[in-house]
Amino acid sequence: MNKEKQHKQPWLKLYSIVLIANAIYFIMFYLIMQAF
Amino acid sequence: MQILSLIDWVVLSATLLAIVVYGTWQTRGSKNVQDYLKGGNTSKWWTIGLSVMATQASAITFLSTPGQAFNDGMGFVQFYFGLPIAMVVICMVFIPLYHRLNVYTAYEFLENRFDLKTRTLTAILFLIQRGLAAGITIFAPAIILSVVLGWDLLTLNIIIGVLVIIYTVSGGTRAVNVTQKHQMVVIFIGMLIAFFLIVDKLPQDITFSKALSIAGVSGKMEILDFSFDLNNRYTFWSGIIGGTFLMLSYFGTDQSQVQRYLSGKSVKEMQLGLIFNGLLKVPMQFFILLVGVMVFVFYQFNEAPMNFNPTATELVLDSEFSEEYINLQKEQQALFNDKQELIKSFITSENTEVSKHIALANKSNDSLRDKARELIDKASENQSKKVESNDKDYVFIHFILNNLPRGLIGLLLAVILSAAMSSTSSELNALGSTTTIDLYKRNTSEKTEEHMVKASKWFTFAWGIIAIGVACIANLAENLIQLVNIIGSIFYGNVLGIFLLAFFFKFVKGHAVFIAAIITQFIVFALYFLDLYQHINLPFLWLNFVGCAIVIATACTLQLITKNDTTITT
Repeated sequence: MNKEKQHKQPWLKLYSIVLIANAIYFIMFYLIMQAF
Repeated sequence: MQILSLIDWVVLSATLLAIVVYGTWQTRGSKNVQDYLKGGNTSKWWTIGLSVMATQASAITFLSTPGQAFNDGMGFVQFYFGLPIAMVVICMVFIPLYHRLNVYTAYEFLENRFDLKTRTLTAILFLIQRGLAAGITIFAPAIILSVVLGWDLLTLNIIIGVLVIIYTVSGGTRAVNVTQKHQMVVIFIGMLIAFFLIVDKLPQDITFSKALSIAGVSGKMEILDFSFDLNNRYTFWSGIIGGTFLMLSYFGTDQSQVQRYLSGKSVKEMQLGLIFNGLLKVPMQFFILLVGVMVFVFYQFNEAPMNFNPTATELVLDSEFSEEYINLQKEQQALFNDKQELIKSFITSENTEVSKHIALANKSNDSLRDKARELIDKASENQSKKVESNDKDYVFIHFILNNLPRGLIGLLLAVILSAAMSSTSSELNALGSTTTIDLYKRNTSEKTEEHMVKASKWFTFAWGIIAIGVACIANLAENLIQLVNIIGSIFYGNVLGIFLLAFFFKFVKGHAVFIAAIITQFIVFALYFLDLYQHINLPFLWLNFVGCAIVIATACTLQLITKNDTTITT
């Protein structure tokens, strides 16, 4: 059990950044699509 | 047919040779296996990121994607929406495990988790699939370039293959990484210059925003599709759900990608490299598609050929359908003249009525192009000559050869060949590593480091020769590219399922997985042949999903039934 806990990977800020960036891309694509 | 000028030859040869010579010289003399197959674990995150991107982006990416946007608009970008999610999962689950077990290949991990036979089976499935794919990575751009430039196909296959073999065999993983960094720089610079030149070639009163408006009225700016229509291949949902699984299997279990990040200096560098890919991939694909859309706008003001494949045009004009084809060309020219008036009016007023007429004119143009394709197919059938009527892959190269200035044509050809070489080198590197580590080393007695490096080099060389061989006979097959995709789909789902079982189904042991994998492979083959002989309707792309689901379900069931598995797992 302890071994399992040791191996558990922490959530890095970078993961949030890449997912938020992806969401921003979607919003931008949506706005571009609406504009043209 | 335009022949390259001296300056184009100089730019093309100098760019390619400089990358090959520098890569070979910089990375020569690997002394041990870790150095040769993992690049001595010295790669920084930006090298990993660029290398991962270069491996995925083959020459077809730069030839086909702009043509895809030219025909169908920007919707293809949705295919990559799952990639950033897959990158996060791989950073959290795959990388720490691979690193902790200090593996050279993804399949080595399977022995640790299951047993030797599961590892060997999965490695062999990878070798069959990737060995064929490496040949096609060389053949696909070579056939297009040979058609438009009149170069000899066989010579081109051999040149691309030999250049890749030189540095991949000599320097191993480090050479692949070093050259891919430079190849990506050439690719980025070439595509940026091409983009600005296309925009610059538009009429003076057409701003970038007006160009996008013209593309928009013809439906080319429909980037997102939120429908749940299964017949529509690229939707937001298929990108997010299907794309995540596809990218997870490609980046997490395909050795040609796994080997890129395993060369990282630390877990942190590997994770940063993949996050870099997750951040840049979607905008990069968006940009390549935008280049295609700009080519579409360019041909709103400049006459386009009825079909961009010159061989197809020659064939139909030399057949009994030539008169019909010439009539279609005349109709297209009249349509083009009418459209000029409409576009002028749209630019000054942006009137919605006018925009509808432009859209209609472009639809009529598409239908003329469809009719032309039908004529080409008929001519091809009657003359028993194989010719590609779908000209998607020829749009961008036609534009490059006929509209870009001298010197830049050479640079853009260097972009296409660099992309071909970068993906092929990763494939050969991975094929050599898997053969050495998973088959040779695992099944022979202890050998010296020097011997293993030599063996790795010979295996990489052998796979290079096989890839050139496949590329050279590819033209003989009816549709070999499709055949390779089918073979990929037959094996890929099974392999992904085995890895998902390893990661997420802790209670399942090796024996159950091995039996399940064999059963699944037979079922997938059976499903494929049932579809082939029209007993069922299951397009081959679905075999990925079906194979994955069957191996997981079968392994879990077998494990639950047998329970007493004696296989040793660590």
